[in-house]
Amino acid sequence: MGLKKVFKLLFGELNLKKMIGWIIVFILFFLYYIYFLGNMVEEMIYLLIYSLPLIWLATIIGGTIEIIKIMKEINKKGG
Amino acid sequence: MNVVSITALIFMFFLFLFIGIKFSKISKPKEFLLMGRNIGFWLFFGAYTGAAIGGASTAGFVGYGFNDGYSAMWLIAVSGITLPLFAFVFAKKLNVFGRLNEAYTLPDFLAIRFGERIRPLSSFISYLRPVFISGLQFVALGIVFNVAFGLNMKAGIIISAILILLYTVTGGQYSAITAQWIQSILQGAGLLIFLGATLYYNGGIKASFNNLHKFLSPEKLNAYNTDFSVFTVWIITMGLFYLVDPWLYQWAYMAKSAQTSFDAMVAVSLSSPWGAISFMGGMLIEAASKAKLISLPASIQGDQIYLYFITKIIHPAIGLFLLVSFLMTVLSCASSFLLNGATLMYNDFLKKTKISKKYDQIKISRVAVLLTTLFGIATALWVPFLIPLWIIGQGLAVSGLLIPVFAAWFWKRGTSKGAYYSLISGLVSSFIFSIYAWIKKGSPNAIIGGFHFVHIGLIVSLLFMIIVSYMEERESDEIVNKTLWNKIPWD
Repeated sequence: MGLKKVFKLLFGELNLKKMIGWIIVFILFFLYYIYFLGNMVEEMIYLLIYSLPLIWLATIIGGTIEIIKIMKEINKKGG
Repeated sequence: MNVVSITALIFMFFLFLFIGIKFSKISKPKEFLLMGRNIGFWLFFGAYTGAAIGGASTAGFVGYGFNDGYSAMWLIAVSGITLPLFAFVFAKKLNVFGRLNEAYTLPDFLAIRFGERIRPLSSFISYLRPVFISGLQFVALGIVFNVAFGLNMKAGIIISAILILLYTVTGGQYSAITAQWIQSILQGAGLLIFLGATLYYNGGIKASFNNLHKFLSPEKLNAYNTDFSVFTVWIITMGLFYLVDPWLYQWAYMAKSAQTSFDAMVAVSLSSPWGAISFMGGMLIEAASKAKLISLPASIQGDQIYLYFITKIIHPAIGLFLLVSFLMTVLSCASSFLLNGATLMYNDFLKKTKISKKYDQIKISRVAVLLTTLFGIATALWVPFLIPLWIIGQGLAVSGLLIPVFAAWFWKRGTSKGAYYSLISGLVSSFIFSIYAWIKKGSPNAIIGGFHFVHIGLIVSLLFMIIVSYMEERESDEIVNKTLWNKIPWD
């Protein structure tokens, strides 16, 4: 009951899909921090090598789409 | 190399200027300073990452990795804990609050709850940080222009400030954010190449691991090898600070929806490994140097290692790219904090003056950008000890703001007078202690008797908040509920 209340407080109306999603995110985050903060320099380097290029590519693609949208909106407004 | 790198920089500058001119049609301060509260997830994520990593967090953190090893990574690791906390607790609510109350800045949040009396001082403390950080970035650019092109340091500072001013004063936050996104792409590529290069000079990934264990002391490979008092200072100044960071409040206001604000902040905190590259790079450079695979001058300082590595050790073509990427890193940080300072300057000072009402508000917003740039240049040129001052500025902000801001969010019994005295007492006590530490131990950041100036400021600020609030009548629910966390809708 307590957990349900906390979830409702944090994420609004409780729904099972949302709850499972957040539990997965928290577990991943926790694992990430074990990697990050422990005496694990090697794992840290692997984490950097494997995760950052993907994040970098996603930022390029996502950002390009959004900038094009904004440019179009501004051009429309400006006439 | 100089001709190619200068050409590359001129190209980048004209690109940013073109973006600025493209966005110069905007007509409202909300658009100019907050990008019309319309930043989508990827732009938020990219631009924030670009802005959060500046010159100090690249060249400086390489030095920390080199000198102190793995435990120095707590400097960014603590923000990796508090940023998600901020995202979960405040990101959505702040975005909604900003829309409902037309809020631009953190002092808006405080003034709506505790009255206008608290605005000037809270704005002043909030304003110090962006000015000092902009000044630091101008200095970093001046150093790069000096090291790479032999340009006089002062000329480098002024030229770099003018370049940033030109593209921010035209398109405001629109051009700053778009440029920061482009800069973050180059910055990301540069950081990845830098990591690859440090692994390469160690002889590959496996050989790097061997060198790290063979040539670095075990303490340098242990994240928990740090003094507890120093650790609590990092938690407060680099961690808890984010919960009352005026810059972060502005990001939350700018997101196009409450959900975007939340999603992007969670994503940003999960991508903090970008910052870890500098630390790892510093450790790998030390390992390669001790393995005699590269050679560094014996007298080199920690914060010079990054620039030395990319200009003297690495292949010139790659070094050139890394140099441009480093400049982008510094530019993105400078432009973001410049706009943060300009928003505070416009919203909390200029807009309130009688004379500003006679003019177009976009022009006044542009004046705010100009003034903030001038203050940044002045601090870069004439203020000595800029890094200790930045540390004091950030520490003062957390000492003065944390308790009143948290009282506004969560404490119904807090009163306007209580918040006002809490702010002043936190500021004064922490400032006095920081100067005392500076005189006694040579650094405002020094720990005396187990206490840092932020510890003192927070304790005094909390006491004043409670005591003064209980000496007064409780304030009406109508006022209290405006900022009370559970009364602000989620979206």
